Amino acid sequence: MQSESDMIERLYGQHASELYNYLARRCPDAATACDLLQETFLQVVRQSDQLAKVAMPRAWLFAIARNMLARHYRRQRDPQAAAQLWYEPESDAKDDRLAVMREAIQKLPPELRDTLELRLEQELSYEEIAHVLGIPVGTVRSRLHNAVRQLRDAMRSQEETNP
Amino acid sequence: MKPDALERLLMDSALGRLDADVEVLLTDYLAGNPGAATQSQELQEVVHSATKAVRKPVPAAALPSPIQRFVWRHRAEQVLALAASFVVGVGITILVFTTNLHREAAVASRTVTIPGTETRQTLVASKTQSLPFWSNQRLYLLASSQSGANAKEILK
Repeated sequence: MQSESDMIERLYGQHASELYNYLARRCPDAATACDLLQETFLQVVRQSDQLAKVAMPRAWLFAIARNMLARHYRRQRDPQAAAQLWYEPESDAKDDRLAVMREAIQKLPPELRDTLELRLEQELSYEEIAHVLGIPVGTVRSRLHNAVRQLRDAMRSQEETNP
Repeated sequence: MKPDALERLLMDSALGRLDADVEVLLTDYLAGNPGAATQSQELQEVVHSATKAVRKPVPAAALPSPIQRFVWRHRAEQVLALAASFVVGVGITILVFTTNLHREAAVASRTVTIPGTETRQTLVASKTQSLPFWSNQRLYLLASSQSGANAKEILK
């Protein structure tokens, strides 16, 4: 039987890196992302009595990290920023298609964008995304389909205007 | 196959969430349907491009030190919370104690201001003047203003 401390240690080893990536893409600097990662695992320690009952540890961790991010931006009085990636347009200025895609993603409704990012960026399964966002799996599927449809339409219209 | 059902399958396939056996069947279907294959190709490109867009590189950083630190920080928080509760408890006790002392002092000072015997007798005298000479009330007032044996005599 593993102790709680060992379980947390194992979770940290397996998921700290991807959680940091998730947070760093949504924070203005690496230091804030590190702080939020610490807060996430501190929360895990606080809730360590629930560890044995958690069915999807990865989704559970992402849900905590997402809450930490939302709390951080609420404190900064900018709750909308929590759901946004910190895009750097100049880094891919040569790739027009990528720039158009980024713009199209930014224009997606927040709930579609959030769901899409969890799937494409973190490769969470539909079930894990449902757990993170607290919505049914069917809703995750329909949100992803809607998002991809809207992105496809955006790309089509871009190709029509700039063939 | 119905177009909307096909589109749903193609979407799930592009998103990489189609069961392996369904994927095989879909591949067979696409081999015989160039229109559907083009549609599939387009969706794959959109998803690929979107994946590239969302996976921007992150700044490298040294991740926080091992997990024991979090455990210690959690324990420190618990100890601090306990200490804070103790301080608040002691504070409340002191406050209640001090308030009671003040109340007792106020009561004591009020007792001191009760009129002395002479004043009390003056008050009784002024009140008895307005009462009939043999009234019980006058006799009671006179008795209560006297002490010991005098009071008993008056009441007799």
